[in-house]
Parts: sequence; structure tokens; C-alpha cells
Amino acid sequence: MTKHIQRQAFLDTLPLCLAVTPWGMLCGSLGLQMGLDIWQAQAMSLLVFAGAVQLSALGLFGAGASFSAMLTSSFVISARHLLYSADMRQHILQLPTKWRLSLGFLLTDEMYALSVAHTQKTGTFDRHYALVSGFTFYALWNLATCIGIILGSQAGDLTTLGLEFAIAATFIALVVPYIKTHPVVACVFTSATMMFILTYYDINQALLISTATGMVVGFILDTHNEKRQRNRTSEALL
Amino acid sequence: MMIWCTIIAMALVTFSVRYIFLARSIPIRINDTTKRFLKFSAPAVLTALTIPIVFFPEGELHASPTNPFILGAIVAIGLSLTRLATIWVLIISMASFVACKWLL
Repeated sequence: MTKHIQRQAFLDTLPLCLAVTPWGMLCGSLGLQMGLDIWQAQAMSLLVFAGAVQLSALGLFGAGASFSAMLTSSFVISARHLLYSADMRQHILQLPTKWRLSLGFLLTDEMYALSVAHTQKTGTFDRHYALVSGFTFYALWNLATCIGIILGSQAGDLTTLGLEFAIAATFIALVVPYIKTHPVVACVFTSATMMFILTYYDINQALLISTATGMVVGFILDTHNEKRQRNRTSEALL
Repeated sequence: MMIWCTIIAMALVTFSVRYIFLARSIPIRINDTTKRFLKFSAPAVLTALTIPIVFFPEGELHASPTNPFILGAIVAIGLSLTRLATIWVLIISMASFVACKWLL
């Protein structure tokens, strides 16, 4: 039974791995271009293991940003994982420490999405499913990085192949499905506008400010909607 | 050495945000209001990360119809609105990006 679930997890994860392969390769080759050695470039994927954080960090390495700026942006970009962590808590808290540490380390957008879908389908959370899908993703992400490092050290500049655009395309493909409600539309629009203006004027911490403003705008509208809905329900009850 | 320190510090940040609520020693649970706020984190940050790549390639504003990043982004947005699988959205939009870069 466990074997079947592990196989299923592996098969479910593969298409998502394919989608991030160009991205992993970019992390490897761009790492070399930004002045990391091959071990540092691979260590980013082995230890940090977060595509968006890694890519933006490489940009910052290139620009010679400060240590604190790099950590702030890492936190802002990975803050969404707080939500996944809080949501997985109900299933994972009672597991032994080694399970909690491993699943915590392997918790990515992809693993979270797959695990939630599997839990909804079968009615129970399966730790083996989560572990195998998380680990498959980890292994292939590192493999892609390794290929990027090899190609980058042989062929030089991979960004000319359009891999740099792959980052933007992936972000777009991830964001668009979120845009279903007015608050999210407002959130995305605000964040984009703020980022455009702040980047144009070369303001520090543009990412932090834009993200926070977008989140606040979305949240306020969402709160407003919810209140209105509650009022309507209570009116209907009266 | 500085690079290694930065990588390890970043790894600590990314691990902490994933592990924090899975730790038994953390008694707090986040309430629904906080969860509702955090739901806007992914769209906000991913959008903010996209803007400089698309509009400021090589660090300078390039807002013209001949910017292949903008054209590619439009294709990617259009395709994302259909029910096409993510991998195809990526492949087709990257192909249009490369084609635009060549032609323009």
C-alpha cells in the first residue's frame, strides 16, 4: 500500500519538476555568472532550496547588495510558506521529530499543493505521499541546478537562450490562476504599480514595500467584502 | 567566505518559515485573520518579482512594443488564462520570447 502511494506521489510530482527544470538550470548557470564557484552554486539549491529566493539572491549578489538586504528579500519572498506551514500543522505536529524536520525542509509550493490535493482526494493526510513528492522535487531541482552549472561552465551565458525570461513566465503562470476575486486583482495591480514606480526611482527595499502594500490592499478589500456578506446573511435571516 | 555565510543565513531563513509551525515548542496558532492576510502574499510577491524582469531588462526601463520580455509576458498571461497545462504555457511563451528577440 505504501509502495503504491510512493509511486503515485512520484508520478504526480514529475510534471511539476519538468516545469521548473529551466529554472533550476538557470540557478546553476547564473550562479557561476554572478561569481559563485560551482560548490556555492550547488549549495544554494541543496540548502536554500527555494527557486524565487535563489534567483533574486543571485541578482542581488550581482548587484553587490548588503547582507541584510539579501535576508530581508529572502524573508519577503518565502513568507508565503508560513501559510503552508500553519496549514500543515494539523497533520504533522503529532509525527516524530525526524518526520517534522524532513517534511518542513521539503515544504515547497509544489509539495504543498500536491499534498493538499491528495488529502482532499483520499480524505486523510499521507506522510509518505508528502515525503516522496517533496523529495522527488528536491532531487530533480538539484539535478537541474547541476546541469545548469555544467552547461554554464561549458557554454557560458545561458541567459541568451531565453532562460531569464523563463523566470518571469513561471511567475506569471503561477500568479494568473490566483486572480479570481476582486481583492486579488487589486492586490496584484497595487503590487505591480508600486514595484514599477519604486524600481524606476531605484528605491531600496522595493520588493518589501510593494509586496506589503499589495497584501494590505487585498486584505482590506477582502475584509470589506466579508463584512458586507455577513451583513447580507444576517439581513436575510431577519 | 561572505558568500558562504550569506547562503547559510538564507537557508536558515527559508527553513525557518517552513518549519516554524511544525515545531512543538511553538504554541501559537495563527488565526483566520492572519491566514487571510497571508493568502495575499504569493500573488503580491510573485507579481512584484516579475515587474523588474519584464520592464527593466538589464536594469533600464524598456517599455516599448519591441521589448521581447513584454511581448513574451503578454503571451504567457494570455495562455495562463486558458486551461493549458503550465508546462505548455512555459514552452510556448519562451518560444515566442526567443522568436521576438531574433526578429526584433
